[in-house]
Amino acid sequence: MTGKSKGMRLAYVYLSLYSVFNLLVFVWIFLTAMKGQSEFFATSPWSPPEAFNLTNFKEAWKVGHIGEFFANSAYVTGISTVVCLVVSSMAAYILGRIPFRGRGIVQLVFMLGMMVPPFMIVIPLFSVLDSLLLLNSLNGLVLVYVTIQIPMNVYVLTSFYRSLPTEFEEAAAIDGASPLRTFFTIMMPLTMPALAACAIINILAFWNEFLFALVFLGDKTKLTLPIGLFYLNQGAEYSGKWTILFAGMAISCIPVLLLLALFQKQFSRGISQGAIKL
Amino acid sequence: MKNAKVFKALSLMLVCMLFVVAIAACGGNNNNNASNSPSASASESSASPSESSSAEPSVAKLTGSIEVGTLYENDPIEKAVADEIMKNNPGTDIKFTFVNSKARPAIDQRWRAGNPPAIDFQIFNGMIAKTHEFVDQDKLLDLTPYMDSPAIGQDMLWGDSFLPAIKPLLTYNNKIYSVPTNVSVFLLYYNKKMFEDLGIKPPTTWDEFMTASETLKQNKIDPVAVTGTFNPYMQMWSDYLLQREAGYDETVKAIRAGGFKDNPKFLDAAKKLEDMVKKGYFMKGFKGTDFTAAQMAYVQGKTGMILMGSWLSAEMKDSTPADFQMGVVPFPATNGAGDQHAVFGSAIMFSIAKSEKNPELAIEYAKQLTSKASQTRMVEEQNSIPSIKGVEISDKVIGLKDALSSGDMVMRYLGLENDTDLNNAYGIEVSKLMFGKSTAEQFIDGLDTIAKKFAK
Amino acid sequence: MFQSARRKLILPFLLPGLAFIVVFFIYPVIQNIGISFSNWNGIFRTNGYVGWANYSRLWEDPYFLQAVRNTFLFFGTMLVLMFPIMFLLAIPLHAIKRGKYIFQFMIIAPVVLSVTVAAVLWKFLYNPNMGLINSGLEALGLESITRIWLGDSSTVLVAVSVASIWHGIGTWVVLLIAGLDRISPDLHEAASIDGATGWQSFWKITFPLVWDVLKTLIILAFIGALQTFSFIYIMTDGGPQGNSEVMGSYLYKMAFTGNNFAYGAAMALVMAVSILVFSFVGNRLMKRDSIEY
Repeated sequence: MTGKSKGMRLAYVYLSLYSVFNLLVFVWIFLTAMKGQSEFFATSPWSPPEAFNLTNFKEAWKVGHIGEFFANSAYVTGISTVVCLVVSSMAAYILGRIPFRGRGIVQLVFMLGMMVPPFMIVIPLFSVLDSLLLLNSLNGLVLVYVTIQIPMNVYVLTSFYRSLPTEFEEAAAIDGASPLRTFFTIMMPLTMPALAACAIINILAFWNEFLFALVFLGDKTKLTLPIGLFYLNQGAEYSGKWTILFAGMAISCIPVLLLLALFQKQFSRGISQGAIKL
Repeated sequence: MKNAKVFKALSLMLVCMLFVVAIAACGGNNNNNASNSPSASASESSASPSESSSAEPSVAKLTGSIEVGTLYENDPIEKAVADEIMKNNPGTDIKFTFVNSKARPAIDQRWRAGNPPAIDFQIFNGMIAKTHEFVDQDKLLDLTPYMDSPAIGQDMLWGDSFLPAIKPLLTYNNKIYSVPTNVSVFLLYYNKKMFEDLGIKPPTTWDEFMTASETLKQNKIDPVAVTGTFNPYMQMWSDYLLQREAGYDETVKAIRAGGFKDNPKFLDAAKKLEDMVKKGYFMKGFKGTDFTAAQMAYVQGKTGMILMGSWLSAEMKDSTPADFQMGVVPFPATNGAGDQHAVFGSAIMFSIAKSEKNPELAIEYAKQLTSKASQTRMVEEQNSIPSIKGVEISDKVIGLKDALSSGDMVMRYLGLENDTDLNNAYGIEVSKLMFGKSTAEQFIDGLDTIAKKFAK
Repeated sequence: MFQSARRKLILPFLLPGLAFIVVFFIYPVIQNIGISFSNWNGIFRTNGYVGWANYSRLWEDPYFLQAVRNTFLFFGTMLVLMFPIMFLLAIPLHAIKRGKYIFQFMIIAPVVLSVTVAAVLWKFLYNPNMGLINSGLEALGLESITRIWLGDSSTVLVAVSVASIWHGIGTWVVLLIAGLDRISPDLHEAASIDGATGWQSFWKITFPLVWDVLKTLIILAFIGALQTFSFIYIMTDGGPQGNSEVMGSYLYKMAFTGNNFAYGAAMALVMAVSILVFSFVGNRLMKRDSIEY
């Protein structure tokens, strides 16, 4: 018994150390964001700001366009996630429940994307988007994002559909519901756990996507958060305005950390369920 | 294959749409040429050139909006020029887009897509062959006709107002495709007060430079600030030394075809750099210091010198203490075979997209930015080197005027002329030498191997 | 009746997904193969056929080979660093009862930050003059350990991978905990009654039972490592002396910075093929070791 409680104590020590380090890092971002330009260079990185100065935050919002970047990222992430889930669900329903000739080939076509790196498509995709007049557009980026997550979503959802019992569908058919209605009102809701898992994984992927956004977005008003912050970082390197960058980073952290605090359970459940299916 | 049909139909639709857009665009261009041909307005106003010196725009009426590239976000003078144009021409709108450094690939993509900003920087240089594709592909507005319009604030034609040394950089096939905003040269900056306090003479020769460095080191000051995370800035050292020791043309020849081992002067250059590394003259921690931090170390008096482009004082304006005095000298003379006083650099230039629907507004911006008033402001506020005649160089940066008048201004720069892959390879060799990972001999061997490899 | 009505859904339900895949995935992949045999090495596209020239250039390019080596080193570093850290966080987090929520939050928090925030942040932590790490070490009297983390060829890859691990570890910990959850606590109890130490019980019970999860994680880590780009691009851009250049960053540098698109396309194909081959081989190798209960 003593061994076990000793192990417990060690577990707490260990987790606390790691948590304190992360906390320190977050606090550091916020405190640095309050420093003045020359103060930033003149003082030790450990020293607290001389005054609680919020001008950097204002400037990051106004001059740095952090608000716009955030809105763009939220838009792209949101729309892509929803579209991807609907499109993948439809395909997965067919692949999982309705046998037809050529199913194996269709499945293979969907799966191809899982192993091919984005670098393989980034160069020609530019011309594709260009010819669809969707270059430098958030909607163009949405189409690409939907595509890169379809393979994984279809895979996870197909196996989920396969595991569902047939009774529900048969009952609905006896009640005279059309297959289309059965799908949207009965089958799709039944896959909720898998949908949630896919949604979480998609959101993470879209929120952090860097390469496509870097290549396909040029217009400052259309940048997503990773790229917007990156250009802010570049601007900082050319002008020495690091404190504004820190303020921008701080602003961008707050909403996502709040969301995580609220939905942490769903978040971790989603990730783990998605992976179990993989 | 229903899919393919849909796709076909879609692309057909797109082709039709593009066709319509193209026709509309051509029509627009024709109109422009007919209504306000630049040479017509030139002859009109050349009758009374003094009048055109007012801030009022010389072209009839400007409307519409343009997107203007900028190398520095929120540059006050560029902003002032834009504001002035917008004020004088109600209904016009000028927006800025950052087009420097890592924003470049995205801007290049927009060029490919036919949707570039109206004004873009550093894409065409008459002296650099790899940039000529912009003209060969008919992407740039031919500025030659506009050059015959009067310069703003000067009693001469716009085309005649630029410094003669820059002209070849703007020209290709006898036509003008770029407008220079200012000249950037690479100089050795020193901390004037620190040098005076320690009784160090601003170095003009390599020996003086090494002595100055040694004195600084004795006084526990890192002699030279440099970044170790950005190879092109480290390359300034090797570029200059190779050019001083062996000569510019020799160096270009060697980098294009090999031959670094045939001329002992190259090794002499490498040895000088190696010597600096061995004596620890580059600032402590430079290997992990990015370029802002390196520049910061200089303006905050943590190091005595920095080899940098003349944009330094503008770039660091907000971070430079009020009492800091910059001094400059040309890169020290080494007694080598190259030009011992040459100051290397290039013009900061922009071009106008041919696809731009509103070229007149872009031209107006270009002319206002190169007007005597704007150029004077750049000199006074940013210590920049003007691109036009008749504007004096600032004396706030001690020695700048002397450096430019005593030495030959050579508007070429090695780093700009190499292709990306060659420059990447060259940068890595320089970085190895400066990090103390290779000897002077290994450096020369490395350069020779690279040059021969890329020569084919 | 129902079956045949349902069959009518097949085409309309499959088409949207297939359209996405065909237009934005398969078509570009084919195009990419074409570009890799072309001479498109400038800003504006050209379609001249140059055969295998871009591929033979790859083979002779020491910086590409260095990037390949670094990519695998990066994966190795991830394996050596991330997997132990993952266990060291997941096992305590799985074991504790009180404070689980807050600790889990602190571990997951970096995951939701934008990748740029994580990269820029660590770039600053590592900064030799302004960073927390060196100044912290100095304050603790550990000057001898201070390094120019991102400027030293021996530490740069590890330094970047630490940043990338910090950003992503939350996901991995959650995944591992999901695996641990499936182990019955009775097994451990039985083991401790038999006198097994914690270490023995980890090796004999925990590890084999989560091996299935681990296999997936290793493959995922491999695919992720081979595509590494953003952290390298933001933090080091391949330096110093190309010591942190990976396939992704070198491809981007050549294709998008240097406008050598044909060359980049060839690189992309090599990358794709190596991911396919190595994942397949890896899967096979690990299958053999798989322990079944």
